[in-house]
Amino acid sequence: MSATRIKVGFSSLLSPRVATANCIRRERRRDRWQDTKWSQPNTQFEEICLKTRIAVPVILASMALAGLSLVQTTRSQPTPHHIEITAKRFNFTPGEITLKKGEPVVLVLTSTDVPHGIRIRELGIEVKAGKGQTSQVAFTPDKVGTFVGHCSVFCGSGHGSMAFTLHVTE
Amino acid sequence: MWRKLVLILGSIFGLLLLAMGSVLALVDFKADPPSKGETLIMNWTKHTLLVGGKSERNPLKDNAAEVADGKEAFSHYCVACHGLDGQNTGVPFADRMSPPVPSLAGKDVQRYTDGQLKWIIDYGIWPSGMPGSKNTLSDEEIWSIVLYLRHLPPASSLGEPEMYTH
Repeated sequence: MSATRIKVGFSSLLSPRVATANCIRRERRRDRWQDTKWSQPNTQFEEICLKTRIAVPVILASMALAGLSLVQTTRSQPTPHHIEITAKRFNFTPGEITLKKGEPVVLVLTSTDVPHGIRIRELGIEVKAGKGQTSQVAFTPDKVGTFVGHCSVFCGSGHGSMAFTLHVTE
Repeated sequence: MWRKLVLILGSIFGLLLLAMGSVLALVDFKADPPSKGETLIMNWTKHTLLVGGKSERNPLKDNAAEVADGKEAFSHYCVACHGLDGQNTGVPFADRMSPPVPSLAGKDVQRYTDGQLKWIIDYGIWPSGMPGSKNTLSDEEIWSIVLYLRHLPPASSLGEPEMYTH
C-alpha cells in the first residue's frame, strides 16, 4: 500500500500526464482483476459458489412460500371424516348416516360375504367392494336432503331391498 | 242325524273328486303352444285388465348412460330366459314354454306403457313363466331395464348368454 503511494507520489512529481496515465492503468488492472474473480470463475468450486450465491435465496424463498400455502390449504380443507360401513346380504351396517353439507367425508365399505356396492345417484357416489375386501370413496355432499342408495352389485334374491340412506343437513 | 250328515258330505266330496279326475283325464297338460285364439284373448286381457301401472312414468332420463345401466341390470338374470338382446338369442327353451318366451322387441311387448313394463317386472305375469322381481332388483334398476327394453339392440348382435355357451 505504501509502495503504491510512493509510486503515485513520484509519478505526480514527474508530470501530471504521467500521473493520470498511471492512474488509468491501475484502474484497468483493478477492473480486470475483478472481472476475472467474479465473472469468469477459474475453478469448479468457484463456479458452484457463484451459482449457489444466487440459488440459495431463491430456494429458501420457494420453500417458505410452499410452506405457507400448505398451511393455508390445511386450514381451508379439514381432514375428511371416515365412516365405516359393512355390507352383508342384504343389509348395510349402519344403514343410515347423517352428514353436514360441505364437510368432506370418506365412505369406507367392507364386504363380508359376496361383492357389494353402494350407489347414490343424486350425489354421484359409487363404491364397490369385492368379497372380503374394503374400498372407499371420498366426497363432499353439496345438497341438503335425504338420499337413498342401493347395492350396485347384484348379490342375490334380496339385492333390490338392500338400501342405504344418507341424510345431509345444513 | 250326524251319521246322515257325514254320509251326505262324504258323497258330495267323492263326487267332486270323481269330477275333477275326469276333467284332468280329458285335459292335455303338455306345454304345447297356445292357439291363435288363446293368444289373442290373453293379450287383450293382459293389456287392458290384468297388468297395472299403466299411467306410471319412467323417472329416469332417456340417455346412453341410463340405457347402459339398464343393460347391466338386465344381465343379472333376465338373460337366462330373454337372452342378452331381449330377443331370446341362444335361449334353448324359449319356444318350448307355454306360452313361449316372447321377443321383448316384439309389438305385443312394446305396446305396453313404461309403467306396465315396470309392473310386469315387479310382479311377474300369469299365466307364463315370468317371475316377479320386486326386492330382487331395486326400483331404479327396474326402471333402467324398462329403458333398455325401449332401446334393444338388433337380434343376435350380442351373442348368447355365457351360461349356454359351455
